[in-house]
Amino acid sequence: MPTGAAGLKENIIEISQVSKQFGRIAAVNHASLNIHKGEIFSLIGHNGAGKSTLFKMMLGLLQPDKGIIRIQGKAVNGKQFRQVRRQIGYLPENVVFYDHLSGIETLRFLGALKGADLNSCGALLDQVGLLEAARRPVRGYSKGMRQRLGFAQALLGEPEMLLLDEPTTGLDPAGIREFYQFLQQLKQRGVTIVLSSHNLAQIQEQVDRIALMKLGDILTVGSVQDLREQLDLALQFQVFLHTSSAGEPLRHALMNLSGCKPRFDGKMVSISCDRKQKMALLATLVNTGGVRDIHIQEPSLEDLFLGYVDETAPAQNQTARS
Amino acid sequence: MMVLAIAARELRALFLSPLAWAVLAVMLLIHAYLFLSQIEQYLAVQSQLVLIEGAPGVTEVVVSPLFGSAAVVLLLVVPLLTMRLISEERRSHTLSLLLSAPVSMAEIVIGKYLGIVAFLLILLALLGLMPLSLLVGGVLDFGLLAAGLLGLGLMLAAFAAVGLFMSTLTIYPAVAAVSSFGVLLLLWIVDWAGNVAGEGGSGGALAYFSMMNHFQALLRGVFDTADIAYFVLFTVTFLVLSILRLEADRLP
Repeated sequence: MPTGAAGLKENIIEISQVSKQFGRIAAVNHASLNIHKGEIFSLIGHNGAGKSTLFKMMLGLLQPDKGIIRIQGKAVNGKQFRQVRRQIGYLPENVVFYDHLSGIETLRFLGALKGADLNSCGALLDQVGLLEAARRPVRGYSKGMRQRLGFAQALLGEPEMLLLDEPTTGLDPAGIREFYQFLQQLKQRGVTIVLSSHNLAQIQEQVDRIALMKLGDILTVGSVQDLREQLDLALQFQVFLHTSSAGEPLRHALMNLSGCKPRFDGKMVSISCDRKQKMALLATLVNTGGVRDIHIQEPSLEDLFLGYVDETAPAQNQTARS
Repeated sequence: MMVLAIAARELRALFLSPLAWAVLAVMLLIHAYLFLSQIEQYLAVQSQLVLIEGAPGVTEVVVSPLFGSAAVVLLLVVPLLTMRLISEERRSHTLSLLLSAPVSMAEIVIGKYLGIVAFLLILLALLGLMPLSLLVGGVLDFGLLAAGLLGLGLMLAAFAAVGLFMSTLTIYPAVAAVSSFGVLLLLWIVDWAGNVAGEGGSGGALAYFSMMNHFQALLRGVFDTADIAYFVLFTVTFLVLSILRLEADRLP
């Protein structure tokens, strides 16, 4: 990942104290965020958390009520932003195309608007697996095909930044896997990617950092590991015993260990254990004997998200929305 | 480049709709009938006209009334063509595709406007071919013909600008069509009230705002820059209003 002179990561998107209000509802509330060049960054939150509003403000489609957004150092909606905008690929949530145009015509039209090389349209359709349907009108495309076409149009003009709002909606599992593989290739080329998704299991292995959003507030920002350490959720141990009878001495041993909650099920024991007690638990398991195998599971992104959402309850916003 | 891309898509979308073809067919049918009627009238009085010095020629008797009738019919037809320009895009959510592209609102509005104007120019060219057929057996006053075509062209440009603006105000194409027609009709007949009010004061001002007055001057072959300026300013005003309306949408 590119770094600045002082060894710090270079910020390509800077969001500073940005707020956006729709009537009485605070869609985004004093959001501050820096996104580094070349990283895959994800905005996570429930519906109405403010993700799409933040995307639109990053593109200049909505004006913040307060605060400022800079992309490559240029203020969004400033005079020089238009040139920067050409380097941003955007896939909106629920993308809609002109039904009468074919896939290739759609890309050529949008490519012309973006000032992109129109000769690249065929190759882009091939990349997203739509080459065979290139000359069919979009009205005959399935939801997944439209989403692929949306991704292709976001890639027009070889953008340096991609803003993808719910990019995997409508894609089948194979399509989702291909999509994330392609994102990793783009990342290798130095493309900065900002995406939102509700499917936390999919993105936890793909993104460098995430921002958790709730009711317009950014609750926290960091890598999945940072968030695990911040929230300090319990680790899940699965212990496989040689025999069921080995469970009894283990039960006695665990009774003396604080922060561990075992659940016995024949030759398998599930233990929820505080992170700080991890080594003590491992030592206990080894010393007690009768253990055939141990699986340790970190809290998933979904666990972290739910942990944060439960832990923080901005009463003011909830009142405003109700 | 961006403006042309938007205009080309708009023109193509028009030709893919049955409405545009129906408009072309009906307009040509109606005007072919009017054209033949005018020729018949001209032929009936031609023998008497040759005896009068400085009598009106075929261009005055056939072509100018034809263009005058075309303007009235187009006042009804243009709103049908412009009603979908923005309202349909808003309705089908394709407008966000344009708004999220790195193009300015002026480029979007001008592109869409040029698309519809290109269609209207095709229609104008087809109407213009009818008078040219008179060259086979007669002599045309090309100056008068050019002034009439210019007047009709400027009028169509103004109609299209009003239709485009009305289309930015609603998501219902039918509402856009009816309101465009209402505004155009009002601007067409506004001098009727002027006639009642008299020449001076408000009557004169209302007569100035009447599209018909400026158009008829051109139909008579009077090329006055004030008439040209009226149509240009009228068109630009409604285009600017359209841009401002959409800007308000983009950055609420």
